[in-house]
Amino acid sequence: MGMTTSTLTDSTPAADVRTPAGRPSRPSRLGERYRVQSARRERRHDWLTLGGWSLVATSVALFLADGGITRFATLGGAVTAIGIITGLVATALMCLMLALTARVPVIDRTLGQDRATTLHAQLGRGMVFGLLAHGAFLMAGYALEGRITPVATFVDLWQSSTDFIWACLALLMFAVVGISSMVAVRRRYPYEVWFAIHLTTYAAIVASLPHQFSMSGLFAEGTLARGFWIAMFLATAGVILAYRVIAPIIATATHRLTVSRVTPVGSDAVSIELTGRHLDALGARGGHWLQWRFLTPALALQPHPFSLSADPTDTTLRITVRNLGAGSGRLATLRPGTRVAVEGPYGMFTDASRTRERVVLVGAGIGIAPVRALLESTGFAPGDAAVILRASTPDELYLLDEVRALCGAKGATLHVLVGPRAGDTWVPRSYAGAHLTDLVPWVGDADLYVCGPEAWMDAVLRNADECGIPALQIHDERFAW
Amino acid sequence: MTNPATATLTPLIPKGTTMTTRRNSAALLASAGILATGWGIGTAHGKTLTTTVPATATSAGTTAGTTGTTGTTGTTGTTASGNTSGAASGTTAGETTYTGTRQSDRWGSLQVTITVASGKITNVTYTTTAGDGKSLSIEARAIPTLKSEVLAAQSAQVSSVSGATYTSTKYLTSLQSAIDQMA
Amino acid sequence: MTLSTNGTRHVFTSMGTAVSLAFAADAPTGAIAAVENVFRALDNQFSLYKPQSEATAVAHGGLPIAQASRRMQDTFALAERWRNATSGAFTPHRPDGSIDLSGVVKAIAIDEAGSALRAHGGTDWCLNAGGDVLTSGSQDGGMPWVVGVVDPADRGRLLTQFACSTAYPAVATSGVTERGEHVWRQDDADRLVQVTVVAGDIITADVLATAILSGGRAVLDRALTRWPLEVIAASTSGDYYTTPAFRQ
Repeated sequence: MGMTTSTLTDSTPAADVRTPAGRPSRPSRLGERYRVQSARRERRHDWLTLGGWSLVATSVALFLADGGITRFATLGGAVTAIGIITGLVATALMCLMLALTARVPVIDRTLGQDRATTLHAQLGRGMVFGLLAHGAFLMAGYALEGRITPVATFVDLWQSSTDFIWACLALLMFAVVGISSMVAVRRRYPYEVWFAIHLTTYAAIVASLPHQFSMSGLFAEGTLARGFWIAMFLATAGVILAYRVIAPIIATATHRLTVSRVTPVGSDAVSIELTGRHLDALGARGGHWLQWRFLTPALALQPHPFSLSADPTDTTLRITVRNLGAGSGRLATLRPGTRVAVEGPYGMFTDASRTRERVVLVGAGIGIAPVRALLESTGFAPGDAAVILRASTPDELYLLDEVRALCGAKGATLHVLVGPRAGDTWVPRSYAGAHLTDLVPWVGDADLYVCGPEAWMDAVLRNADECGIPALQIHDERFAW
Repeated sequence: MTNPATATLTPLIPKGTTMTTRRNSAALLASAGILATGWGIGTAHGKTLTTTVPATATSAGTTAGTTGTTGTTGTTGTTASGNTSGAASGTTAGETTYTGTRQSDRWGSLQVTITVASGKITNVTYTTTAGDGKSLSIEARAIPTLKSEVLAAQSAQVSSVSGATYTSTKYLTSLQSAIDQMA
Repeated sequence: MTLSTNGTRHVFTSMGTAVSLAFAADAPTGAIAAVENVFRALDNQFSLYKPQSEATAVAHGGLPIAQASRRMQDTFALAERWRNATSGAFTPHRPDGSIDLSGVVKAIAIDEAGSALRAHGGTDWCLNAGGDVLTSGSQDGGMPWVVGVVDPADRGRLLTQFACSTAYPAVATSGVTERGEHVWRQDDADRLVQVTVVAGDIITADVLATAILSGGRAVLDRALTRWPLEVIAASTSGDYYTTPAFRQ
């Protein structure tokens, strides 16, 4: 079995001379546009961060404004107060978490939906612990204040209020959802099972609502705090309804996407072309991913997140998919004419996240598909772009000829690195020890886009860090989440 | 190095840049400001508010909870009668009904309604929700009363006297012993 | 010790106080002795003033409740249930942590004495132990037993009265002059200084009178929503809080 290593370097257009660390002699309009775009994104991030923290702070401030600080005068009161505060914070976190998975456009265009989902998971841990602390501290605090045992407190509440019973049930459900989402537990059963358990979160939230209003002095009728709390829930529900339910339904109905062609690519992948109407209104660009539901009996219940593998036209979209797993394997047998429901487009692996004139695109395996799409759709002057493709075998260099053609047409340098990996680095053995800067000396002055298998991406990003590439210029897209 | 199987299901968030630090610091500061504002509002309002009801009675306001802490009775308005939500709603001629704000605690919420006629409280009603939305109306419970309005005792009818416990020595000079001797 | 007796009234001392037992007609045979036995037995077991009582052993002698007699454990459990029901306003725990069941033992004695009286065929009687009263039936001539309430400002005068009935046979009063410590949990300026509770049984009346005195008007309001009661409570301001039975 021969391991081939090849490097293909297209010659740079003669007319364009740059020194390795060179900069254009004057800032280009493209660069200017990208700098403005980047600054705007950072501002949006500032505001979102401020908004998130403020929501949590306001929840606690409501308690303080109600004179809550006086509870800290006694031990029992202090413990009760902590119980109340943890409940408020956990609920605010819960609303933030829901907003993060609601696929709100401004959050997607700022954080990128994958980062938003990660943040959701991180907040989830805090929220579940917060809820457990809420229950524990309140039982302890009431017991201290009433000079009865926590068990007696619990029984007293259980017997005096059905809202409390529902709240306990809700807490239990949240704990189950939390445990089921732990990595160690999650990989033991299929995604569909995890998803079904996760959906019970909605039921848990509804079950926890009554006790917040009927058992709390803070949210008693007629208080401003009650209005704020209701508004918070309504806003959260509204956002979920708008962007996870209504928007996808409208998108599917408006664009009427259907499969038009299924073409094999390489030995184990297919390109699926879809046609639709008003695709300019969809707002999709090269690098975006969408959630695809192919409406056949076998596939309708499985949504797939796939990236576009070409810049959309007014009437066509294309994805390129590898046959992995039971779901993807069936995609090769899709028939033209199959209707498709979509959600999206999502992601910041697009031209919209560019920050400067130069760009380096790095893709491995089927990660080459969004790289190729981005190569087509993003802007750069000849000589200001480099593409690095990585694969263990030449079979896995999907869409290589398209990439090569685009590089030639747009004036981007192409590097192809084939062969088994050297240890856990991002390069093949023949390149052992090579850094990104060895291949692209000016990478520190460029946007770096990376897409490929998890472990390999981690290796690339480690190297990018070692090369001193600023974090703002690094863009990656992951799908394991 | 890291086992690929456990490697992040999460993207490596780029390490904190100065921009991220600045952003987070700003958010923290804003949060601290919000907390301080809340604290200020809380201390400015002080503890229980009571308002006087027309004529004789004091407010029926402080009904929340059974413990000494008054956190929940602070600014959620324990004003009874006079200036409350709903204010006065006349019932029969000459009578006005005042509805106090709802008091909430972990056993549910309690609302007091007072009927005033000719400047005197004639009726007090509690409506409670026991934390599950059901409402119970309990009529005519303990209301403030002047001594002159308390039912007078008629010693001739009384066969026993209830009072704070007396020792057997104190008994000898008590009303009860007088009654016991007379019988 | 008997303080006085005639055909229809008998007074004896027990539990450090005086117990007055009145009958509408002549006392049934053995009834008075039975009542005295009830009080004596409970006093021997629960008095903290008797060094050899079981209660002393529990409170000061290191005897754990779990190893005490069944009766002691049941009484303790009763007191705990009431502590839970009043959310701590009534509690057998003193501030120093020791256990004092005297608050509930007197009421238990009255209650059991009532059972003993019925067992001996007594249908019309009025039992007053140290200011807590339990009645049955009616006075001579069919009139209800009328229980006066002492004026907290002048123990030689009556404040008001209550005509007992089958539904409301028990009257208990708790006041600041009572022996024993109260844990003051009210923070009103307008404290209650004497609370009289009329209820369907003497233990409920006695416990709630103590709880309301201790916890103030908040406990009063809560208690009225949970048990059928008639209450008159005197506050330091000179005003009273009354349910309808105690108003003109």
